[in-house]
Amino acid sequence: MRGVRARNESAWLIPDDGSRTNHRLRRDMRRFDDSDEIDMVIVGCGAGGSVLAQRLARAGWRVAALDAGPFWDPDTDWVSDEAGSHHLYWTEPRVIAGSDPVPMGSNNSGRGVGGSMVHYAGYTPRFHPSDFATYSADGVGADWPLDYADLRPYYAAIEQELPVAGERWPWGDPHGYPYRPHPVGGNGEVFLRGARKLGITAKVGPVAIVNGRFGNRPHCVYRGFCLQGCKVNAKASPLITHIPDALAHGAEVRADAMVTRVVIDERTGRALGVHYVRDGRERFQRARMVAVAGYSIETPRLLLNSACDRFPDGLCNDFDQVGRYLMVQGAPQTAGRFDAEVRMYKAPPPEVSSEEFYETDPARDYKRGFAIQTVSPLPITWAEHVAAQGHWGGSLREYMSDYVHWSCLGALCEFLPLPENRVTLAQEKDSLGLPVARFSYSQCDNDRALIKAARTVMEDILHAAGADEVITIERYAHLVGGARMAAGERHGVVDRNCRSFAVPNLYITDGSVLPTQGSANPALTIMAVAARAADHLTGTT
Amino acid sequence: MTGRATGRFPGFDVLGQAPHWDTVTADLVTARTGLPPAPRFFTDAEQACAGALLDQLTGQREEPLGVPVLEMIDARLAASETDGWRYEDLPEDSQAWRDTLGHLDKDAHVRCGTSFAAAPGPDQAALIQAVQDSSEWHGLPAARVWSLWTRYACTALYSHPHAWSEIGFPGPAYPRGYKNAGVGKLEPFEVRDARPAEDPVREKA
Repeated sequence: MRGVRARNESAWLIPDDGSRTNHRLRRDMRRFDDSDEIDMVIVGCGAGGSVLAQRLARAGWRVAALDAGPFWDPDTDWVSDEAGSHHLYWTEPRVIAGSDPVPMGSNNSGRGVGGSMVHYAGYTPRFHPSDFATYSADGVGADWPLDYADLRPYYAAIEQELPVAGERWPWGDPHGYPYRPHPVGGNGEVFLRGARKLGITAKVGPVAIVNGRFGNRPHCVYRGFCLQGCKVNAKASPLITHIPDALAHGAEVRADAMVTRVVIDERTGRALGVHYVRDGRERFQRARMVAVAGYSIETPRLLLNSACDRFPDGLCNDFDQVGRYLMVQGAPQTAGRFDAEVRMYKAPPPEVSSEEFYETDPARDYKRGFAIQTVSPLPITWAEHVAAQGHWGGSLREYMSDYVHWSCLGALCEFLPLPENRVTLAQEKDSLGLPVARFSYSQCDNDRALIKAARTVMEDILHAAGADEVITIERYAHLVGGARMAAGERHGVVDRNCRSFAVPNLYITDGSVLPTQGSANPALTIMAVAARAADHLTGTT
Repeated sequence: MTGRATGRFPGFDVLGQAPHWDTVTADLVTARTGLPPAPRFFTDAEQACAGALLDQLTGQREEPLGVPVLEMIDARLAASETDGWRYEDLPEDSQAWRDTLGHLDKDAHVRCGTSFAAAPGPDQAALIQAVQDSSEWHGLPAARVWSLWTRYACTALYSHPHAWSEIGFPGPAYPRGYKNAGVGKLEPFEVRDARPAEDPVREKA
């Protein structure tokens, strides 16, 4: 992995003394004045914003990346505990609506440096080549203004930087991973056994969890709390994969800084910088360019809250595209009961996946498909499964006491991008007096057909593995879209390089630019898209 | 039903593992077993109603676990520690709790002529079941109300080490991690289920 260190030294900038944070690097971090016209101010330090900051800093740009949340120290800020991890999520108010409202918070929304990748499971599959032209091929979804080949080198680069562990991947564009697959626990074992019986290919990985040592990041200890922030530094998040290198190359990370508004010069139509609130004070950071990377809810909300004379309906919203085509994946989870003890909490929840059902199958009455993965909920989340079956009181307790006997699989169904699934502003205000996001979601027939099909496959796999009973809970996972890239301004907000159509020095470099989502967990693709945008900005492509 | 949940993992006590947890986590988790702070959010009447409701929902009326679910939820609501969203057709969480507890008391007065907390256990259970079984309840979508109650109740109950001991879950696992993952495998500190064939789903089928 020598090549990786030469282009991203993050893993070697972490201390090797058993602590998780390089405090000196943070203390000595370059700090810009609000009045400095820096080269780029980035809004959000998640998957997209952090990669952009690291790439631009390496190219010598003067960059500050602002995040509404804290600059985490895994040793002191994170716990090996579900309820105690509440502060990792975006818990400012949001209103959910539509015929199928999507819960937010722990389900899909991060806060603080590292973003949602602090509490994502760790799955990092690539999109398939077919994902980039679903409209041409199947008449559903949308075609991207770029294709898989444009992203392939960025996928490979990021997979080395995280780094990703897994078996050789046979689906989509077949490829290998830099680290060998992890050993599996009880839940992975059940999935592999059931799939084998049915002739369904399932593979171990792909997870951005160190298998072996990587720089000064240690091996995973299999404690099962990946979704609560990795105290080990084994699971990748930008906090440890990109931010340290960004700081070492002169970027500033300004935590606890909530950006409230992007300011446009009404005369030139160019972005001038961002208003933000820090320590209760309103401030303004000047910048030559602005990149918004607040993810699919906060990015559209910020654009809408940045309305001005030139953009009365919200920044970049001349064609009513901001906030639209927001997607979640249908993520039903099916659990199976075994007389043997599975104890699914004793391994990272992300272990094994199958993309056998990812592509459109002409024999089916629906388009596109789904992926199946192990999920391994901890007790509070497991209680949600049990309560969803209608149990309460003594019955809830009795079912819960059976926890060690259950195995649990989750599906990611490719819900289609629909214009009415969108973010708008609610009447309600947050603690800063800004209108909060209202997120409306309603499924279409194809979405419902996918959930049904995925549920059947999961039930079949668990039965084949020997489960005597199965239960299913319907839920959602991930967010993408809301400010999508498109071939032209009437169909999206940014171009193929993440530059907004409306404001020439305004970029959006997060999951909200994705026009479709496949059945893949989005983190790797968000990072790859941001890395590609950075190359465009620095003139490398 | 009484006693069905308890005793499946004889002698297993999660708190015995606390010396193996990192101190940040250990402090947080063991604090949950201490004396809970007095409620600040709920009024006296709301406390009585919520206490009875939560004892029912968490099965602690029949089988007390010593988990102060009422106080834990009160502390969350007092700190406005929501899940980060609310349904458009339900008020924000703290108001929704106040409103729905008021509605429960009203229902109890109609059915028993008493407050919900003073109603006999079976009546309380029937009033709760009616919420779960209806589509609309006092002008609110009943499923959303049910979701609010059970989300808060389950999060509190299953954050508590006593509940973990009951279900055989060893709790925090850092820095130790696990060495014996796999079907049927145990760590030295885990206890095997004493009644492995007692499958609640199958028994009800």
